[in-house]
Amino acid sequence: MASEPAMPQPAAPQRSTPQRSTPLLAIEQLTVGFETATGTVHALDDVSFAIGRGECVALVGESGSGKSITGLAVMRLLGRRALVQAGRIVFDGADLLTLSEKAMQATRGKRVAMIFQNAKASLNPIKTVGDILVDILRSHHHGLSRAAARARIVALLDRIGINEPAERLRAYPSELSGGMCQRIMIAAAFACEPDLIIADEPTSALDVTTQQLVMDLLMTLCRERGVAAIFITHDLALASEYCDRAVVLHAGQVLEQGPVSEVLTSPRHPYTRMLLDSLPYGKDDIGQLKAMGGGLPDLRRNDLPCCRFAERCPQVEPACRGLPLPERRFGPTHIVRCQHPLEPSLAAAPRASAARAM
Amino acid sequence: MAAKLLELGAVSKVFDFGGGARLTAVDAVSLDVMPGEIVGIVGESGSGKSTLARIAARLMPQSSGNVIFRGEDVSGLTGVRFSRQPARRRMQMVFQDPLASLNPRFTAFAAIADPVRQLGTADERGNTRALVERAAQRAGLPPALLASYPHQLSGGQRARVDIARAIVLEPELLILDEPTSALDASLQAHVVQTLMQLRQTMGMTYIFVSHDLNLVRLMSDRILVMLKGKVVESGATAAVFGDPQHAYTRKLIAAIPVLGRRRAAAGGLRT
Repeated sequence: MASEPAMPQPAAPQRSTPQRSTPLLAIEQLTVGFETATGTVHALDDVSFAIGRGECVALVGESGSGKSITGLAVMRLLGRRALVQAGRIVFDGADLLTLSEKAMQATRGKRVAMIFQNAKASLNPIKTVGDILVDILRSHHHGLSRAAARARIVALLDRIGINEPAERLRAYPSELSGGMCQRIMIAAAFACEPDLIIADEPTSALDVTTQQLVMDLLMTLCRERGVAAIFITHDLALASEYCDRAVVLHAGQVLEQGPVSEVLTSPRHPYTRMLLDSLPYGKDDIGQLKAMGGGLPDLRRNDLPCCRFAERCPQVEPACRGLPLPERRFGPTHIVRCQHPLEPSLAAAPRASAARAM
Repeated sequence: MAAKLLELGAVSKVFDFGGGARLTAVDAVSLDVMPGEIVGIVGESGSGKSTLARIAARLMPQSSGNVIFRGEDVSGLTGVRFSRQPARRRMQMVFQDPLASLNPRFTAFAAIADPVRQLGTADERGNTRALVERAAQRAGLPPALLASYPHQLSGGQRARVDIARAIVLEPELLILDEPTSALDASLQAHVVQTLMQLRQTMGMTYIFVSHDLNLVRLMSDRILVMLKGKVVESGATAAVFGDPQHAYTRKLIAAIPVLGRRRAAAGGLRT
């Protein structure tokens, strides 16, 4: 797209170098609850992590761990029942939680874009894909004509390798494959030139081959344009392939975060270790698959232990239940919140075959 | 050599949409399944793997070809007509999305008891509670949950109801269509272990349809790779993964995410 203005950020983000100055996004001690008929769901507890410009951070954990809630909190799309009990979400110097709704609307979609799991379901079925995209673009670029918006989208789709883009734009979402819809949604998100993309399980509904196509597209666009990304997934291998850092959530708490090369190959938190052991990746035999004991605690409880993993943890000790989560650093950005982090040897032991091709 | 449990002979399925629009979803697929085997079927969405599973389970008639189950030609029997056959109870299917496949107005108990009611002998029907409780226990479903409706259960618990329902009459063949793809990794490991234990204790045979190649690799003795309705490659799992012959198989294997590997995404925009 030749006519597209250059991105204001430096084009080549420094991969794997932590941003020690001001991060693009800093979530600080975010605590969120939801009011329900049966009590308050303590969905997020003291969640803190930051993302530098152009950096890609994976949010990983089981269903119900608070990954999507964190993404929606940044977009301020939590809904009326949500109660932000504490914390700040500082985006480019401003706390999003204190912005007026009008100011938030100028940020949402334009500066922070979101991509959802099921692209087809999040598109209006009675509009053509082209009309949807033109509307999105024009709602953020006032004064852009329909024809100009359409031309811009056609050029972008063409550039990302979608054949006959004009033809695709005349189709309804139901007429396109899931992978095609998702690629078009990604193009739409980038058309607004955001600084940050939140991708919530963007490929979970797709086949492995389509998944690779979509992830390659998403990450190449991020890298080319210096766009930061929060990649929400429960696929740890996918996170390790494409992201710089990983943030491991469990029952609304960040238990471990750091470079993917450390967190996802030699984790120091027992939960991350157990999560990896339950995955078929790198195992040679079905017997090596270790199912994790227990489930997430009921987040409506008012007597949740300080470490919400305590009830599933094989190494639990009284301090886990009673003392606030300690913050232990194992590197400039590798932080483990655990009373008894794993030794590096133990952390790496069962994964001798992790780097093998299969 | 034991007799074949299931034989699919050049099975095809053509969907006719009228106006000359036709889709060959399954194209002359032949497959012999031996007792005790786990056969994995992999392929992308639209490759015909679920259609093939449904034909094997006699939920859908094939357009051409034969289906022989336990030596009996059941080619012309599907749905209700197949359910009148004594062989019907020897085969069960486990579906991808238990929330969609379980009747929302049936408790877990009623769902698991349904095959006994429909297909069981008079003796078994008189003994329903014991059979249901045994199946629930084998599938790892706590007895306290038998009174729950599907919406009151978690995804993992629903998957267990679906498995308990399938095994309540101790079938010989279980056809599993993406049984864990709606589940989290940690739950998936639980369900997979349950399935592997069941196979040991009950000596069952599995046809396991999945797009999760990692899981298929660990679970199956033999795999079939499907593309656009055709089997493009088949063989022992280790051989297919170790030395894939077809370009599509190689592409599938290359696309599996690997822990600790960096994917060089740059330049990958046009494929």
